[in-house]
Amino acid sequence: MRSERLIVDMISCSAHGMCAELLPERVSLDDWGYPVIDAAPLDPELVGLARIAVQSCPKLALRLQREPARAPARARR
Amino acid sequence: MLVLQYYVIRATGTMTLILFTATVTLGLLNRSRVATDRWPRFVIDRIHRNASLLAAAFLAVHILSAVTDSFIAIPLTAAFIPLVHTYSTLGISAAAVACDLLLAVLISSLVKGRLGYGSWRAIHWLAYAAWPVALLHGIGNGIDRATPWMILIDLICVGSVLSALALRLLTVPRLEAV
Repeated sequence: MRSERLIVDMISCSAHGMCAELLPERVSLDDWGYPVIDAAPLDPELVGLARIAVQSCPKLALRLQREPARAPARARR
Repeated sequence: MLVLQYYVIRATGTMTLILFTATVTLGLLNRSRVATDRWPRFVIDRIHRNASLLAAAFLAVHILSAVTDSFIAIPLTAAFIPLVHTYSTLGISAAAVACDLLLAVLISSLVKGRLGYGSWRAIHWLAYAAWPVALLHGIGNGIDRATPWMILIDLICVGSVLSALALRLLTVPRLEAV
């Protein structure tokens, strides 16, 4: 099973900050209220919460991205 | 049974107005980025979404109970197409306009991810047009429109939306100037 990671489109983002409220495990806010996202693959128990954060983004700037197949191989090295 | 239906039409109409007002008010508050520790952004957003779905459910029952009532005898088409029915043409036409606008807002929000932000937002603005039209339908057609409690509900709804709108007009230009 491939894991997923959270990514943000910083051009679309306008610092509503809802992602940091909903997923503080992976999202913190910088001094201007923009998200700083932990790019590591999501733990399975966080995927559901991440999906809620993605659906809640007012600007549709947050996405879940399937990790590319070769990435785990690099991680094992 | 007929008497029960008569109550259902009135009650669901009033509930739709209250829930629609709550939805618009919370949407405006969210746009102004209102939040406290006890009411974070996502709470207001979630109630905005859930209140809108509940309003849609009450609206569906309101329309179904009105079009199946044999006494007032409004055809189903009148709920969606203005000017097709001669009973209180203006009021029922207002209802049809509000209903069509809300259908557009509801469907576009359900497929927001596929639609993209720009188109979704343009359609979502129709809610601002639908709300006063829906209110006028209640004032025009509501059987309880002249009762003190219904006038009070109308006034609270207008006050709620107008104060949230004032807050939005005061805060959003400042937010976007940053």
